[in-house]
Amino acid sequence: MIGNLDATLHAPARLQIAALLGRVEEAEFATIRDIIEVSDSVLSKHLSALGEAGYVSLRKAALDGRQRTWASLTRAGRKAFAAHIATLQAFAASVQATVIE
Amino acid sequence: MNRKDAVAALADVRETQAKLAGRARWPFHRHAMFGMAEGLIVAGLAQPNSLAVAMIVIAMVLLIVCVAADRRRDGMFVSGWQPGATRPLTIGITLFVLAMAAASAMSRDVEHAGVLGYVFGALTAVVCTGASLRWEKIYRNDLLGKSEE
Repeated sequence: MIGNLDATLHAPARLQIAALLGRVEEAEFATIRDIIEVSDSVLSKHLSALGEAGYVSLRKAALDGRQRTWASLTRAGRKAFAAHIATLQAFAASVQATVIE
Repeated sequence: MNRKDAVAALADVRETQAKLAGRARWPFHRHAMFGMAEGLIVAGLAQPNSLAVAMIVIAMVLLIVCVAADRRRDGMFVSGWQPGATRPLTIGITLFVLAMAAASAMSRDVEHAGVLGYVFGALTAVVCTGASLRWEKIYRNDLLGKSEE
């Protein structure tokens, strides 16, 4: 066992959402969907799961006269993402070590 | 999770950030508006009170317009203060603007204070516009995992 993998971030789409939100202040639902390349319903499900874990904050705001959902990574989300990435990197490094050996 | 999964997950993260890098392009006028807002604040500090207030209010409106336009155009907002390779430049820009603001404010009592304020303001606008353009490049390279030359 290398470090602790976060069960909430284990799903590839959720990890990608966290990777995106970790590098912006806030992103709109359609922008996240286009970058992650998932359907509306799948994104909605993953954002809800991340929100329930306290990793993502969601708010509704009008844009061009329509209500849109905006998502941002919370402090807890950033911390969990950083820890998860560190664990993944430890795994990957062990792969390289094995290859070198 | 096995080792192969970990490598694949990290590749997914890199791919996501590379896609974000592809969208992380702001038009020149966006950088110029930021530079102008900073320059107005600095120049305003050397002007008579009523003019100073008007210039600072215009600067604030410009910054609000910048953020709103970013959200509308890009469907996202990227803060200058976010963690990463851009942070040292953000700190540098802030320190430079604070130094220019202090110089402008201190020049209020000298002769031709207004003109001096506009000189400080113009210098701030040019430097901040250039720094903002540089910030964008560093941000994109950081997302792509490239180091700065």
